[in-house]
Amino acid sequence: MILINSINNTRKIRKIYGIIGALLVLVIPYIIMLHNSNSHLETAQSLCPFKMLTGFPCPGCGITKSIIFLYEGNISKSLYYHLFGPFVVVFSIVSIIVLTTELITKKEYFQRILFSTKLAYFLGGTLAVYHLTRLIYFVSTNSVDDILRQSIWK
Amino acid sequence: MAQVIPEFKTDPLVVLILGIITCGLYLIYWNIKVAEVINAANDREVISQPIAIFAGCCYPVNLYFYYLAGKDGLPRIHEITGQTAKDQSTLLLVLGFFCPMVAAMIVQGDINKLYK
Repeated sequence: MILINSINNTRKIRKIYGIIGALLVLVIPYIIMLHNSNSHLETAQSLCPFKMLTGFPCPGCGITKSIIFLYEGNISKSLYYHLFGPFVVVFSIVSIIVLTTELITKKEYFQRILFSTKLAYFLGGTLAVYHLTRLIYFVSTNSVDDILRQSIWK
Repeated sequence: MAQVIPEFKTDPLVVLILGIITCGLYLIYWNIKVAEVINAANDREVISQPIAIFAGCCYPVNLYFYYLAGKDGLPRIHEITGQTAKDQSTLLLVLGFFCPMVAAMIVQGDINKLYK
């Protein structure tokens, strides 16, 4: 009985963490947007450790900028920075709604989707194809000097 | 019935090298496989695989992946391999924030012990 209570408590805490995490994903780009009056975002050094180290983008690079431009209503620029930026916003909103509902009703929803291996491989494949395409575009449109300038080495 | 743990033995250094030379592409595959191994070893769904893909390779959301792996996933693997089960979530969170590929190397190193 104590073990079941402990597991339920752990799940409840995880859901609260999930809601906080999803809220942060939505709020942080909004705060950055409010302080982006002179459009410094497009030229500022990325904080991604991989980008800082190599100058190349990682699979998640650009999502924050994508969300910021989505908030500003610039859809084309949002999709330019990351195709999945709008998807992340939708996913975060859905997560907040579902997790809050789960906490209130004490039931769990969409478990089959959340733990689907087929969906995982599909999403992984989609992200991999997108990232590969983006890398080819990145290399073809940037010189070695440009790439180095995007890292911390130059 | 206990699940069969899928084999995913790779040198941690290979994870680092492939992660860098493929610009993170390898880490997408790595996240799916690691989530599979951790879930099978724990005989329950510790890390949702679809979420693991994005959480694992998109900074700083990867912290969620490393937190779950360190808190819920790896202690069971330590038990199976005869080590003291330890919570590595803090270490993996810190490394996941500053150097995600090193955190991945630690997770891979622990998983490799399953196949000795």
